[in-house]
Amino acid sequence: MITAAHYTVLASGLFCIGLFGVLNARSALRVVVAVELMLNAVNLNLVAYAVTSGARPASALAFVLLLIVIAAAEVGLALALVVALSRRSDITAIDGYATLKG
Amino acid sequence: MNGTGHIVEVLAPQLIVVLTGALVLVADLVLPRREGEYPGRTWLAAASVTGLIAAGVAAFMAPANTSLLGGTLAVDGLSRFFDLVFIGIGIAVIGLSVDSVHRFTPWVAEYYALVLWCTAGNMMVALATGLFSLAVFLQLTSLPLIALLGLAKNDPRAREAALKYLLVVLVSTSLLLWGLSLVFGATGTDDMRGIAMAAAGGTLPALGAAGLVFMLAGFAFKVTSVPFQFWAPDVYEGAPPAVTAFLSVGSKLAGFALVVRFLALSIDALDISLAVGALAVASMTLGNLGALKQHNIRRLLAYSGIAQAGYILVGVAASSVTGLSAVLFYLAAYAIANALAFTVVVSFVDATGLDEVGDLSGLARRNPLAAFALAGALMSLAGLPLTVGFMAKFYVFMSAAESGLYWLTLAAVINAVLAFAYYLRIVWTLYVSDEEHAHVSMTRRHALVMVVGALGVVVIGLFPAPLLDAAHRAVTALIAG
Amino acid sequence: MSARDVLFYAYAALSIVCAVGIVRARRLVHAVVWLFATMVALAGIYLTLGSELMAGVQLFVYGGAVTVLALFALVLTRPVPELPARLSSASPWVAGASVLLLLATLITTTVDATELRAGVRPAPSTALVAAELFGRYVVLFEVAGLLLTVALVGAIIVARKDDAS
Repeated sequence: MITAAHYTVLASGLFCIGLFGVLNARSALRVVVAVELMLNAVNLNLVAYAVTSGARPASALAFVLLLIVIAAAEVGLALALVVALSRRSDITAIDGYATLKG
Repeated sequence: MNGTGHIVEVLAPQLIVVLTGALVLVADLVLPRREGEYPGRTWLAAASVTGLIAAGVAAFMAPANTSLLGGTLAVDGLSRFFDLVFIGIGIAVIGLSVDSVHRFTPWVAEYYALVLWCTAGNMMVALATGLFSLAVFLQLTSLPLIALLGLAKNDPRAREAALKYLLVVLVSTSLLLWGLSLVFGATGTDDMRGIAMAAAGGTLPALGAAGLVFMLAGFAFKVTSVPFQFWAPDVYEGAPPAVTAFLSVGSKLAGFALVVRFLALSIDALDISLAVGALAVASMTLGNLGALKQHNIRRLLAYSGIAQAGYILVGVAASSVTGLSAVLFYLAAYAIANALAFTVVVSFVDATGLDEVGDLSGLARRNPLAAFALAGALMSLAGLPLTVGFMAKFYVFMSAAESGLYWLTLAAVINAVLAFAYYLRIVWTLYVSDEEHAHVSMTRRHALVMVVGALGVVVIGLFPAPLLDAAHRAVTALIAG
Repeated sequence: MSARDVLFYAYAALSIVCAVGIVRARRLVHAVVWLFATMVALAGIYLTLGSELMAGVQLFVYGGAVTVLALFALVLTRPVPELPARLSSASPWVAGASVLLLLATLITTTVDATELRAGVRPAPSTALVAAELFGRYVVLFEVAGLLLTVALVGAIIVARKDDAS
C-alpha cells in the first residue's frame, strides 16, 4: 500500500535536489529555479499529509493554495529584481559580490 | 461564530495600517507635482504617521484576549505589546526617512506604503497561533523589505544588498516551510498549542523534531542569529541607511515575537535550553568578535545586532516566565537603542555621505546632540548602568541563572564585557579627538527622533518597572490562557 | 500492486529524473524546461492522491505561470556568463555529500515514523476547501492578496526605477 511515508520520501528527494541546486548555483536565476523545486516538495508533503493523516484535510489544502499564491508572488518579485539588476551590471552571476565582503 | 464585523473590530490596528498604505499610494496620484518639486511628499509621511498613531489608539481600544477564526489568531497582551512596539518603530523609521527618502529613490509614496505594509506584517506575526497563519504573515514581513532594498536607484552596493537579501529570503523561506510541513505531518496539526501538547508527553516524533530544526533556520534568518546571520553585514552596509534601520529593528523583533509566543505555549513541553543556549553563545561570540574589527559603522552595527540576538536568546533559553518577560523587556530596549543609533547614522550619512567609524571623530563638538544620542544608544547596547540596556541585560542574564544555566550566564557576561571594547571605542572617537572638522548639520525631525529616543533610553533605564510589569503580565496571561 | 501504485511509482521516478535534470542542465533555459516537466509530473502525483483540484492548480500556476515567468526573465536578462563561482564556498562534492547525508537522515526518519503509515483517503471536496479558505483562513486569504499587491508594486518600482524623474 502507498502511504504518506512514500510521498514524504519522494518529497525529501525533490527537496534535497533543490537544496543541492541552491548550494551549487552559479547565478541568481538558478537559485530561483532550485527554490521553486524546494517549494514544490513542501506542497507535495502538505497535500499528502492532508489526504492521509491530517485532522483537518480541507484546511491543509486551503493552506497549500495560499502557499502557491505566495510562492508565485515571491518568485515574481524575485525575477523582476533579477531582471532589473541584470540590466545594470552582470551581477546575476553570484560572483559579482566584489564590493561586499562576506 | 465570528462575524465579519467582529473580525474587523478586533483586527482594527492591522487593518488601519494596511489601509493607510493603500491611501498613501492613492494620494500620491492626486497630490500636485511641479517641475522637480514634490511638496506633497511631506504630507505622505504625515499621513503615514497619522495612520500609525490611529492604529496605536485602536490597539489600546481593541477588545483584549480574543481568539479569532477557529483559534488561528489570538489578540492578547503579547500581541498588543508588539503592536505598540512595531507602531513605534514604524513612526521612527518614517520620521528618519522623510528628509532623505527622495534622494535615494523616486518612489516616495511606494516607500511609505511598503514600510507600512511591512509594519502590518510584523504586527500580524505577533497574532499568529497557527503555523499556517505564521507562514503567510512572515512573508508579509520580508517581501516588502525586498522591494524596499531594491528601490534605491543607481547604487551598486544597494543593488547587491537587495540581491543578497532576496536569495537569503528565498532559501530561508523554503527551509522554514519544509520544516513546517514535517511538523504538520508528525503532529497532524498546525496549531502551536497542539504541537506543544504532542510534544508534552515526550512523544514529539523524530520527524517533528527534524521539522523544528528546519524551522529554526527560518527564525534564525529573521533574528540574524547563528546559523543564518551571515547576510546581515553586507545587507546592512549596502542598503539605504533608513531601510537598514528598519531591517535591523522591525524584522528582528518580528522573529522574536513568534519565538516568544511559540515558546510560551510549549514552555513545559519542550526542553530547548541546551540547543538555544548553544545558538546564543555562538551568536554572541561571532557577533562580538566580528564587530571588533569593523571600521564601517553600519557593518559594526550589523555584527552588534548579531551579538544582541545572542543576548536575547539567552533569555529564550531560560524558558521560564521570568526569561520570556526579560526577553520582551530586552526587545523593547534593543528597539529603542538601535533605532536611536541608526537615527544618528542616517542623519550623519545624509549630511556627509560618510559612514566609517573614523569619520565620526570629534562629533561631540561638531554636533553635540547627535554625539550624545549616539553615545547613549551605544552605552545602552553595551549595557552600561543608568541606561535601559543595563536593566535589560541584567534581567535576561539573571533569568538564565535562575533556570540553573550558570554556564550561559557566564558566557553572556564575558561577551558583554568583550563588547565594551568596540562600543566604547566609538564613544571615545566621538568625544576625544583633537582634529578639527566641519560642523555637521541635521534636520529638526532627526533631532526630534533623537531627543525622544535618548529620553527613552534614560527614563526607562531609571524606571524600568512599568515596562517590565507589562511584559510580565503579557507572558503570564499567555501561559495561563 | 494496484494501478494507483504503479502510477505513483511512474510519476515519482519521472519527477526525480526531471528534478535531477534541473540541476544538471548546463544552460539555464534547459533547467527551466526540466522544471516545467517536474511540475507536470507532480501534477500526476497529486492525481494519485485523488486531489484533482491540486493537480489543476499545479498545472495552471506552476506549469503555466511560474515557468513562463522564469522564461521571460531569462529572455530579458542579458546572457550572463556563468562563472564557476557558487553561492556556497564549499565545493560541489562537499555540498553533494552533505545533502546526501541530509537525504539519508530524512528518509530513515520518514521510514521510522509511525504517524506516516496511513494510506490515502478520499480527498476533501473542493467545496470544503473553499469553505476553509473563506472561513477559517479568510484573513490569510486577504493577506495573500496584499502580498500580490506588494509583489506588483515592488516589481514595478524595481523594474522601472531609472525612468522615473
